[in-house]
Amino acid sequence: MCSHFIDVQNVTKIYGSKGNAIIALKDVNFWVNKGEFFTIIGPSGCGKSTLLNLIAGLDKLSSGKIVLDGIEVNGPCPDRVAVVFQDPALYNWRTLLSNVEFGLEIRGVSKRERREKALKYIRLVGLAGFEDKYPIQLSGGMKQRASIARALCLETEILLMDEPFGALDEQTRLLLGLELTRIWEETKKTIIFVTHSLLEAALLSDRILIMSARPGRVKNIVDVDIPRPRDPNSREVNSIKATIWEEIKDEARKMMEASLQIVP
Amino acid sequence: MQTRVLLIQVGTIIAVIVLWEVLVSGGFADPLFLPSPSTIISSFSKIQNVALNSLLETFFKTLIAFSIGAGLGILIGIVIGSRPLLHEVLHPYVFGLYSIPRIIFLPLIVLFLGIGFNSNIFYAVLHTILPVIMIVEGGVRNIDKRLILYAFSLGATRKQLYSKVIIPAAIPSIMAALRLGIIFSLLGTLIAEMYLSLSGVGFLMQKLSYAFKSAEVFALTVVVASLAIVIVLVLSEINKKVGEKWL
Amino acid sequence: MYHKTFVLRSLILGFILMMWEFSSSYIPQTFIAPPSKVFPLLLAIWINTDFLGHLYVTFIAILLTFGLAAVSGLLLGFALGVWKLLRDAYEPILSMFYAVPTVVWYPLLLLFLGLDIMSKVAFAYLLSFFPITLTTVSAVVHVDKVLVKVAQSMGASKLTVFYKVIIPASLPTILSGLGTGLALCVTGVIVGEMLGGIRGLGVLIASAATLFETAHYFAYTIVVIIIALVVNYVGKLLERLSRGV
Repeated sequence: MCSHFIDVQNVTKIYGSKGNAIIALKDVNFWVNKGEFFTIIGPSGCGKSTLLNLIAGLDKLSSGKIVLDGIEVNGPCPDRVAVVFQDPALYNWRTLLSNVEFGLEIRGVSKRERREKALKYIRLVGLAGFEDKYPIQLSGGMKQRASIARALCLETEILLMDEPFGALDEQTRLLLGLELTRIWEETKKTIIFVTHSLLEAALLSDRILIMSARPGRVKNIVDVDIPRPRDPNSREVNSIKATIWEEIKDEARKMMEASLQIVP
Repeated sequence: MQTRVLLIQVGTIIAVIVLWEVLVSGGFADPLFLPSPSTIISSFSKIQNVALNSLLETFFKTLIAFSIGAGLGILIGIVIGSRPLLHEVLHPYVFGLYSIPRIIFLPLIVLFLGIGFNSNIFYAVLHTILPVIMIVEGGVRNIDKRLILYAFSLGATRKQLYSKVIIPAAIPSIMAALRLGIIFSLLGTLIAEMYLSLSGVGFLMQKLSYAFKSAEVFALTVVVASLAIVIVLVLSEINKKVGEKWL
Repeated sequence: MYHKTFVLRSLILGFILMMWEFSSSYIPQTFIAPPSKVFPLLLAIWINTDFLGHLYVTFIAILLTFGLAAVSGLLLGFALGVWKLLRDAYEPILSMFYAVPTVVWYPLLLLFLGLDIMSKVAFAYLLSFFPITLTTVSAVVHVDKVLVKVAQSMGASKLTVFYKVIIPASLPTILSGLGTGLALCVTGVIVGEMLGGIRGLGVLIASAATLFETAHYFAYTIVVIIIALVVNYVGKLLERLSRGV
């Protein structure tokens, strides 16, 4: 019995019913190895976020199954999976420290222990000194780092990230990407990372899953064997980008044309 | 899902009416104070003539007050909203007048204009004009400054700025002000009639109320309330239709 | 710039006061009492126990009404905000009733509850209950879904999500609704008192006018204006404070 760390088997997701059904994902099949940095990339609207939500247990499958470390996914499992969304979604009535502690607070961890862990991860993401600040006082990049710290605090094996740097400018993205690689190497988590940036996928991942246009299917999986740290301008990284683009550009065009038809 | 919603709504209404009828017929509630639904329905015909006259009169007053109040209000709102100095200086006064119970001025108005038509209209206009000013003023202030800047950079004159940018951009607020304005006019007219007047729906309802003619009061209340609801629904529909094209 | 507006505003106020004072030379004092008569009275009434008695009645009515409206409004608002089925069923009905000018119900209330405090309270309650409820519903419904998702992904139960996410996130809007509600309670009680009451500030205003005690009328009116402005101001302050956090 082949046991992969994360196993996605024949996953299909359909929204709506009868005449208005939208097939977001169709027969998606892949696996992720332990400790891998696994990226899912695809054109807008192909269902990557939907897929991530399903793995996180935030949504129900229409058919198929997802197995995380031997246990089938049935709902949110905060002891095994932590999620970072594109919107940092910090609670602006709580301080940075209180926000990062939030997951542990819900779990019922003692105040002292929560604090210790939260401070540790705040330091890890480079926000030491800002513990008492409110989200409104933090920049976009800082908020997203806080959101990552909050997820890290749960100390899960698996980290899911849904276009976490999507709302940031390119320079911040590149820097945070480097930070993320450093954090991954230090914490040795398994990361599933969703993005639409070719560069990000090439720079950060061990393997890249390329999705097709809707209904989302696995188009291809690309291995990235380049040693880290990776130079964004190197021949190897550019070659990976080219590979991805070849696979993806037709799918992207299909999505663009499809969305043009939807406007009445 | 929609059917469940409808079921709950209809179910609640039926339950309320049945409970009501039972309470009165079963002698749990004094019919003098809480007439049964059946009594109310029969009393409709009793008051028909008087009610119709009063309704027409109130409607007429409301319309006049609305025309004056909304018309002036929109004008003033645009002027105050578009000139920052005027806004800074006048806004506290406008807001102050808006947030107090304007009914306290009614005795003064009656003192000068007597009981009847004039004081009714004056008060209703007062009641309408302030919310309208507030809404239109707010709408004008919220116009994206870049729109004005762009027209200005093309060499638009003040008159053109107003007619081609400010007023069109303010239309949604103006529509909102009109919708609310008519309710405020009705409200103002009714209040004035109830306080001191010798005719109109407000007066009629007060009179019937003091005379303990509960069924009639109920009937009249239902009629006026329904009319108000119909007006609001119609205006919402119009608003939606116009809004679709504008946005 | 700030000084300019302050000066201009004060000038306007001063101008109004002057016109008011001068008008008494031309208009008989049965119609308009000048500030010189009204302001001393404003100070004198506080010693008058009769006035204080009326003020007390109004005050109690406002407190009672607001308490009732706030509690029921918040309860219903949260219930409708959280449960979609209830909301779909009852929000249209509520909005419908909200469209009716509350004065329409007043004669009915007078009938049921008599001329004294209860009809005023009921009237002011109706006036403020709807905005409080509808604002609360809107606040809850508009809580950013991502904030809820984050908590869910961390395994929070529905109750935890309600207490730790929905309530704090919707608080500023709810407070503004309550502020509006309070201001409407004041208005409602005064209106109720003026249209048919036995004791209260509004009653004083109405009777002073009827008896041509113009100076008293002006004085009581000013008291009401000040109360209304203070309540409004406090409401706005509360909302801004909650947003600041």
